[in-house]
Amino acid sequence: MKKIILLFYLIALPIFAQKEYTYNFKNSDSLDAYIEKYELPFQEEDIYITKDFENSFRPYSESKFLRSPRIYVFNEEGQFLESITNITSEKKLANFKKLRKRPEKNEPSLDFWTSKIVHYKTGNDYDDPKNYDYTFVVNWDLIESEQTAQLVEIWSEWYNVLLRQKAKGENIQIILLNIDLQERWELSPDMRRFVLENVNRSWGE
Amino acid sequence: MKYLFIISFLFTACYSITAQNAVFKTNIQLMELEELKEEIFESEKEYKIAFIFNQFCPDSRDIFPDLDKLYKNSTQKNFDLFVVTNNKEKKQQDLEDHLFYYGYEEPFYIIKDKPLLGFFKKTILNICDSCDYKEMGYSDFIVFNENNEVLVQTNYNQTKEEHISILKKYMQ
Repeated sequence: MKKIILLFYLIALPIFAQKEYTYNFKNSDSLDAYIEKYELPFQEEDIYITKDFENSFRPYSESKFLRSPRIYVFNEEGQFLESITNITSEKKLANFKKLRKRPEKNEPSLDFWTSKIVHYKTGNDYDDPKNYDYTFVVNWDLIESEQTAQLVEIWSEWYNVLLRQKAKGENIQIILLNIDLQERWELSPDMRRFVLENVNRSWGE
Repeated sequence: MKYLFIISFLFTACYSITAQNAVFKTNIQLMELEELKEEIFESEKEYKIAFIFNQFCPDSRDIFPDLDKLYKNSTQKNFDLFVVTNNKEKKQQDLEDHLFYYGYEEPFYIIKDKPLLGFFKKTILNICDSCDYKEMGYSDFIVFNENNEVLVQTNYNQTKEEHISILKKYMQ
Protein backbone atom coordinates (compact mmCIF):
# COMPACT_ATOMS: atom_id res chain seq x y z
CA MET A 1 0.00 0.00 0.00
CA LYS A 2 2.86 2.32 0.93
CA LYS A 3 4.42 1.70 -2.49
CA ILE A 4 1.15 2.50 -4.29
CA ILE A 5 0.81 5.77 -2.38
CA LEU A 6 4.45 6.64 -3.14
CA LEU A 7 3.98 5.83 -6.85
CA PHE A 8 0.80 7.91 -7.02
CA TYR A 9 2.59 10.76 -5.32
CA LEU A 10 5.54 10.58 -7.72
CA ILE A 11 3.26 10.58 -10.75
CA ALA A 12 1.04 13.32 -9.39
CA LEU A 13 3.84 15.61 -8.23
CA PRO A 14 4.50 17.28 -11.60
CA ILE A 15 0.76 17.90 -12.05
CA PHE A 16 -0.01 19.16 -8.58
CA ALA A 17 3.21 21.17 -8.54
CA GLN A 18 1.54 23.61 -10.93
CA LYS A 19 -1.39 24.31 -8.58
CA GLU A 20 -2.18 27.59 -6.86
CA TYR A 21 0.61 29.57 -8.42
CA THR A 22 0.30 32.76 -10.41
CA TYR A 23 2.67 32.88 -13.34
CA ASN A 24 4.41 36.11 -14.18
CA PHE A 25 7.22 37.38 -16.35
CA LYS A 26 10.78 36.70 -15.20
CA ASN A 27 14.20 38.05 -16.00
CA SER A 28 17.80 37.08 -15.31
CA ASP A 29 17.67 38.76 -11.88
CA SER A 30 14.64 36.74 -10.82
CA LEU A 31 16.33 33.56 -12.04
CA ASP A 32 19.49 34.42 -10.08
CA ALA A 33 17.45 35.27 -6.98
CA TYR A 34 15.60 31.94 -7.15
CA ILE A 35 18.85 30.01 -7.65
CA GLU A 36 20.38 31.78 -4.67
CA LYS A 37 17.32 31.46 -2.45
CA TYR A 38 16.98 27.72 -2.98
CA GLU A 39 20.72 27.06 -3.34
CA LEU A 40 20.37 25.40 -6.70
CA PRO A 41 23.79 24.17 -7.85
CA PHE A 42 23.23 25.50 -11.41
CA GLN A 43 26.17 26.92 -13.31
CA GLU A 44 25.48 30.09 -15.23
CA GLU A 45 26.81 28.84 -18.56
CA ASP A 46 24.24 26.03 -18.72
CA ILE A 47 21.14 28.19 -18.19
CA TYR A 48 18.94 29.06 -21.16
CA ILE A 49 15.52 30.61 -21.73
CA THR A 50 13.15 30.73 -24.69
CA LYS A 51 14.12 33.35 -27.25
CA ASP A 52 10.75 34.99 -27.94
CA PHE A 53 7.06 34.39 -27.53
CA GLU A 54 5.76 33.80 -31.03
CA ASN A 55 8.44 31.58 -32.55
CA SER A 56 9.90 29.97 -29.46
CA PHE A 57 7.63 29.81 -26.45
CA ARG A 58 4.43 29.22 -28.39
CA PRO A 59 5.70 26.18 -30.36
CA TYR A 60 6.96 24.74 -27.07
CA SER A 61 3.70 25.36 -25.29
CA GLU A 62 1.83 23.71 -28.15
CA SER A 63 4.11 20.70 -27.96
CA LYS A 64 4.31 18.29 -25.06
CA PHE A 65 7.78 19.54 -24.20
CA LEU A 66 6.93 22.36 -21.83
CA ARG A 67 6.74 20.25 -18.72
CA SER A 68 8.67 20.54 -15.52
CA PRO A 69 10.38 18.79 -13.84
CA ARG A 70 11.37 16.83 -16.92
CA ILE A 71 14.53 15.96 -18.87
CA TYR A 72 14.57 15.43 -22.62
CA VAL A 73 17.43 13.31 -23.95
CA PHE A 74 18.96 13.46 -27.43
CA ASN A 75 21.58 11.24 -29.02
CA GLU A 76 24.75 12.31 -30.85
CA GLU A 77 22.78 12.93 -34.05
CA GLY A 78 20.38 15.18 -32.16
CA GLN A 79 17.55 12.66 -32.37
CA PHE A 80 15.10 12.57 -29.50
CA LEU A 81 15.50 9.45 -27.38
CA GLU A 82 13.20 9.83 -24.41
CA SER A 83 11.95 12.00 -21.60
CA ILE A 84 12.98 11.33 -18.03
CA THR A 85 10.84 11.99 -14.97
CA ASN A 86 11.59 11.79 -11.28
CA ILE A 87 10.43 8.17 -11.38
CA THR A 88 12.99 7.04 -13.96
CA SER A 89 15.78 9.51 -13.27
CA GLU A 90 17.82 7.43 -10.81
CA LYS A 91 18.06 4.47 -13.17
CA LYS A 92 18.68 6.47 -16.35
CA LEU A 93 20.95 9.28 -15.20
CA ALA A 94 23.23 7.13 -13.07
CA ASN A 95 23.80 4.65 -15.87
CA PHE A 96 23.59 5.77 -19.49
CA LYS A 97 23.48 2.13 -20.64
CA LYS A 98 19.88 2.24 -19.47
CA LEU A 99 18.94 5.11 -21.78
CA ARG A 100 16.78 4.25 -24.75
CA LYS A 101 18.94 3.44 -27.79
CA ARG A 102 16.47 3.81 -30.62
CA PRO A 103 15.25 7.36 -31.35
CA GLU A 104 11.56 8.14 -30.97
CA LYS A 105 9.90 8.48 -34.35
CA ASN A 106 8.14 11.70 -35.39
CA GLU A 107 9.54 13.75 -32.53
CA PRO A 108 11.39 17.04 -33.08
CA SER A 109 15.15 16.85 -33.09
CA LEU A 110 17.54 18.84 -30.94
CA ASP A 111 17.56 21.67 -33.53
CA PHE A 112 13.92 22.36 -32.72
CA TRP A 113 15.02 23.20 -29.20
CA THR A 114 18.36 24.87 -29.72
CA SER A 115 17.03 27.20 -32.41
CA LYS A 116 14.52 28.59 -29.91
CA ILE A 117 16.70 29.27 -26.90
CA VAL A 118 19.14 31.97 -25.80
CA HIS A 119 21.47 32.29 -22.86
CA TYR A 120 19.53 33.78 -19.93
CA LYS A 121 22.02 36.58 -19.27
CA THR A 122 23.74 37.39 -22.53
CA GLY A 123 20.76 36.71 -24.78
CA ASN A 124 23.13 34.98 -27.19
CA ASP A 125 21.76 32.20 -29.36
CA TYR A 126 22.64 28.65 -28.43
CA ASP A 127 25.69 27.97 -30.53
CA ASP A 128 27.78 24.95 -29.71
CA PRO A 129 29.40 23.25 -32.69
CA LYS A 130 30.71 20.39 -30.56
CA ASN A 131 29.16 16.96 -30.92
CA TYR A 132 28.02 15.27 -27.75
CA ASP A 133 27.11 11.65 -27.16
CA TYR A 134 24.03 12.83 -25.30
CA THR A 135 22.35 16.19 -24.74
CA PHE A 136 20.12 16.56 -21.69
CA VAL A 137 17.59 19.39 -21.71
CA VAL A 138 16.48 19.90 -18.11
CA ASN A 139 13.23 21.87 -17.86
CA TRP A 140 12.81 23.95 -14.74
CA ASP A 141 10.80 26.93 -13.62
CA LEU A 142 10.58 29.44 -10.80
CA ILE A 143 7.55 27.97 -9.16
CA GLU A 144 6.68 28.87 -5.58
CA SER A 145 4.36 26.35 -4.00
CA GLU A 146 4.19 23.71 -1.31
CA GLN A 147 6.19 21.44 -3.59
CA THR A 148 9.04 23.88 -4.18
CA ALA A 149 11.42 22.15 -1.77
CA GLN A 150 10.86 18.79 -3.47
CA LEU A 151 11.22 20.27 -6.94
CA VAL A 152 14.43 22.01 -5.98
CA GLU A 153 15.74 18.73 -4.61
CA ILE A 154 14.89 16.96 -7.87
CA TRP A 155 16.53 19.60 -10.07
CA SER A 156 19.61 19.64 -7.83
CA GLU A 157 19.92 15.86 -7.90
CA TRP A 158 19.56 15.80 -11.68
CA TYR A 159 22.10 18.51 -12.29
CA ASN A 160 24.59 17.12 -9.78
CA VAL A 161 24.48 13.60 -11.18
CA LEU A 162 24.95 14.93 -14.72
CA LEU A 163 27.94 16.96 -13.53
CA ARG A 164 29.34 13.79 -11.95
CA GLN A 165 28.89 12.00 -15.28
CA LYS A 166 30.71 14.84 -17.05
CA ALA A 167 33.56 14.74 -14.52
CA LYS A 168 33.78 10.99 -15.07
CA GLY A 169 34.49 11.67 -18.73
CA GLU A 170 31.08 11.28 -20.35
CA ASN A 171 30.79 13.48 -23.42
CA ILE A 172 27.49 15.15 -22.61
CA GLN A 173 25.86 18.55 -22.82
CA ILE A 174 23.49 19.91 -20.18
CA ILE A 175 20.96 22.61 -21.04
CA LEU A 176 19.05 23.99 -18.06
CA LEU A 177 16.02 25.38 -19.84
CA ASN A 178 13.98 27.78 -17.77
CA ILE A 179 10.45 27.58 -19.16
CA ASP A 180 9.00 30.69 -17.51
CA LEU A 181 7.57 33.68 -19.34
CA GLN A 182 10.39 36.11 -20.06
CA GLU A 183 10.67 39.89 -19.79
CA ARG A 184 13.28 39.65 -22.54
CA TRP A 185 10.52 39.00 -25.08
CA GLU A 186 9.51 42.66 -24.71
CA LEU A 187 5.85 42.10 -25.40
CA SER A 188 3.42 45.00 -25.64
CA PRO A 189 1.30 45.65 -22.50
CA ASP A 190 -1.78 44.17 -24.17
CA MET A 191 0.10 41.08 -25.26
CA ARG A 192 1.59 40.63 -21.78
CA ARG A 193 -1.89 40.74 -20.27
CA PHE A 194 -3.20 38.30 -22.87
CA VAL A 195 -0.31 35.86 -22.31
CA LEU A 196 -0.59 36.03 -18.52
CA GLU A 197 -4.35 35.48 -18.58
CA ASN A 198 -3.99 32.48 -20.86
CA VAL A 199 -1.06 30.92 -19.09
CA ASN A 200 -2.59 31.31 -15.67
CA ARG A 201 -5.92 29.96 -16.88
CA SER A 202 -4.46 26.88 -18.54
CA TRP A 203 -1.52 26.15 -16.19
CA GLY A 204 -2.61 27.63 -12.92
CA GLU A 205 -5.88 25.78 -12.59
CA MET B 1 55.27 40.03 -4.15
CA LYS B 2 53.68 40.33 -7.59
CA TYR B 3 54.90 36.82 -8.50
CA LEU B 4 53.66 35.44 -5.22
CA PHE B 5 50.24 36.88 -5.97
CA ILE B 6 50.23 35.38 -9.50
CA ILE B 7 51.36 31.98 -8.22
CA SER B 8 48.77 31.94 -5.47
CA PHE B 9 46.09 33.03 -7.95
CA LEU B 10 47.06 30.23 -10.36
CA PHE B 11 47.11 27.74 -7.53
CA THR B 12 43.65 28.83 -6.35
CA ALA B 13 42.29 28.72 -9.91
CA CYS B 14 43.78 25.26 -10.54
CA TYR B 15 42.48 24.00 -7.23
CA SER B 16 38.94 25.17 -7.89
CA ILE B 17 38.97 23.64 -11.38
CA THR B 18 40.19 20.35 -9.91
CA ALA B 19 37.60 20.49 -7.16
CA GLN B 20 34.80 21.10 -9.63
CA ASN B 21 35.91 18.28 -11.89
CA ALA B 22 36.87 15.80 -9.21
CA VAL B 23 35.84 12.34 -10.30
CA PHE B 24 33.33 10.88 -7.93
CA LYS B 25 33.97 7.33 -6.77
CA THR B 26 31.63 5.01 -4.97
CA ASN B 27 33.03 2.92 -2.15
CA ILE B 28 31.59 -0.59 -2.21
CA GLN B 29 33.37 -3.58 -0.77
CA LEU B 30 32.43 -7.22 -1.10
CA MET B 31 33.09 -9.10 2.06
CA GLU B 32 32.20 -12.22 3.98
CA LEU B 33 30.42 -11.70 7.29
CA GLU B 34 33.45 -12.80 9.28
CA GLU B 35 35.70 -10.37 7.43
CA LEU B 36 33.25 -7.56 8.09
CA LYS B 37 33.32 -8.33 11.79
CA GLU B 38 37.13 -8.24 11.76
CA GLU B 39 37.09 -4.98 9.82
CA ILE B 40 34.83 -3.35 12.40
CA PHE B 41 36.62 -4.74 15.43
CA GLU B 42 40.09 -3.97 14.13
CA SER B 43 39.26 -0.34 13.55
CA GLU B 44 41.00 1.83 16.13
CA LYS B 45 38.61 4.73 15.87
CA GLU B 46 36.85 6.07 18.94
CA TYR B 47 33.49 5.05 17.53
CA LYS B 48 32.54 2.40 15.00
CA ILE B 49 29.06 2.68 13.48
CA ALA B 50 27.47 -0.28 11.70
CA PHE B 51 24.46 1.01 9.77
CA ILE B 52 22.01 -1.45 8.21
CA PHE B 53 20.88 -0.30 4.78
CA ASN B 54 18.36 -1.38 2.19
CA GLN B 55 18.40 0.45 -1.14
CA PHE B 56 14.67 -0.01 -1.63
CA CYS B 57 13.53 0.70 1.93
CA PRO B 58 11.89 4.17 2.22
CA ASP B 59 13.27 4.58 5.75
CA SER B 60 16.83 3.89 4.61
CA ARG B 61 16.45 6.28 1.69
CA ASP B 62 14.87 8.88 3.92
CA ILE B 63 17.60 9.04 6.54
CA PHE B 64 20.58 8.65 4.24
CA PRO B 65 20.84 12.25 2.95
CA ASP B 66 21.16 13.41 6.57
CA LEU B 67 23.70 10.73 7.36
CA ASP B 68 25.57 11.72 4.19
CA LYS B 69 25.71 15.35 5.34
CA LEU B 70 27.06 14.33 8.75
CA TYR B 71 29.64 12.07 7.10
CA LYS B 72 30.83 14.73 4.67
CA ASN B 73 30.80 17.54 7.20
CA SER B 74 32.57 15.65 9.98
CA THR B 75 35.80 17.40 10.86
CA GLN B 76 37.34 15.27 13.58
CA LYS B 77 36.77 11.94 11.79
CA ASN B 78 36.72 10.17 15.13
CA PHE B 79 34.58 7.36 13.77
CA ASP B 80 34.47 4.65 11.14
CA LEU B 81 31.22 4.06 9.32
CA PHE B 82 30.27 0.64 7.95
CA VAL B 83 27.12 0.70 5.87
CA VAL B 84 26.03 -2.92 5.64
CA THR B 85 23.62 -3.35 2.77
CA ASN B 86 21.34 -6.26 1.99
CA ASN B 87 22.02 -5.97 -1.78
CA LYS B 88 23.02 -9.26 -3.34
CA GLU B 89 26.48 -9.60 -4.85
CA LYS B 90 25.00 -9.80 -8.35
CA LYS B 91 23.08 -6.57 -7.72
CA GLN B 92 26.23 -4.57 -7.06
CA GLN B 93 25.71 -2.46 -10.18
CA ASP B 94 22.27 -1.36 -8.94
CA LEU B 95 23.87 -0.19 -5.72
CA GLU B 96 26.70 1.51 -7.66
CA ASP B 97 24.09 3.42 -9.67
CA HIS B 98 22.17 4.40 -6.55
CA LEU B 99 25.29 5.72 -4.82
CA PHE B 100 26.46 7.49 -7.97
CA TYR B 101 23.08 9.15 -8.45
CA TYR B 102 23.03 10.58 -4.94
CA GLY B 103 26.79 11.14 -4.66
CA TYR B 104 27.14 8.89 -1.61
CA GLU B 105 30.81 8.20 -0.84
CA GLU B 106 30.29 6.24 2.38
CA PRO B 107 31.86 2.78 2.66
CA PHE B 108 29.18 0.25 1.74
CA TYR B 109 29.60 -3.45 2.41
CA ILE B 110 27.90 -6.16 0.40
CA ILE B 111 27.93 -9.48 2.20
CA LYS B 112 29.35 -12.18 -0.06
CA ASP B 113 27.77 -15.02 1.85
CA LYS B 114 24.48 -13.16 2.33
CA PRO B 115 22.03 -15.61 3.83
CA LEU B 116 18.93 -16.34 1.79
CA LEU B 117 16.83 -16.02 4.91
CA GLY B 118 17.49 -14.24 8.17
CA PHE B 119 19.78 -11.50 6.87
CA PHE B 120 19.09 -9.42 9.96
CA LYS B 121 19.53 -12.17 12.48
CA LYS B 122 22.75 -13.50 10.98
CA THR B 123 24.30 -10.15 10.15
CA ILE B 124 23.53 -8.43 13.42
CA LEU B 125 24.33 -11.36 15.66
CA ASN B 126 27.60 -11.81 13.82
CA ILE B 127 28.81 -8.36 14.70
CA CYS B 128 26.98 -7.93 18.00
CA ASP B 129 25.88 -11.02 19.89
CA SER B 130 24.32 -8.97 22.70
CA CYS B 131 22.10 -6.97 20.30
CA ASP B 132 18.41 -7.67 19.96
CA TYR B 133 18.08 -8.14 16.20
CA LYS B 134 14.29 -8.47 16.48
CA GLU B 135 14.13 -4.82 17.55
CA MET B 136 16.11 -3.59 14.57
CA GLY B 137 15.11 -2.66 11.04
CA TYR B 138 16.68 -1.10 7.96
CA SER B 139 18.15 2.29 8.87
CA ASP B 140 18.96 1.11 12.40
CA PHE B 141 22.55 1.05 13.56
CA ILE B 142 24.92 -0.05 16.30
CA VAL B 143 27.65 2.16 17.75
CA PHE B 144 30.72 0.47 19.24
CA ASN B 145 33.45 2.16 21.22
CA GLU B 146 37.15 1.61 20.58
CA ASN B 147 37.05 -1.48 22.83
CA ASN B 148 34.24 -2.88 20.70
CA GLU B 149 31.65 -2.50 23.42
CA VAL B 150 28.15 -1.57 22.31
CA LEU B 151 27.34 2.04 23.17
CA VAL B 152 24.06 2.32 21.31
CA GLN B 153 21.73 -0.01 19.51
CA THR B 154 18.82 1.75 17.82
CA ASN B 155 15.46 0.13 17.14
CA TYR B 156 12.58 0.51 14.75
CA ASN B 157 10.42 2.30 17.29
CA GLN B 158 12.71 5.30 17.18
CA THR B 159 12.05 8.16 14.82
CA LYS B 160 14.34 9.42 12.11
CA GLU B 161 15.00 12.54 14.21
CA GLU B 162 16.11 10.39 17.14
CA HIS B 163 18.43 8.44 14.87
CA ILE B 164 19.97 11.60 13.47
CA SER B 165 20.45 13.11 16.88
CA ILE B 166 22.35 9.97 17.99
CA LEU B 167 24.44 9.98 14.81
CA LYS B 168 25.28 13.65 15.35
CA LYS B 169 26.75 12.80 18.72
CA TYR B 170 29.15 10.21 17.30
CA MET B 171 29.88 11.49 13.80
CA GLN B 172 31.99 14.51 14.75
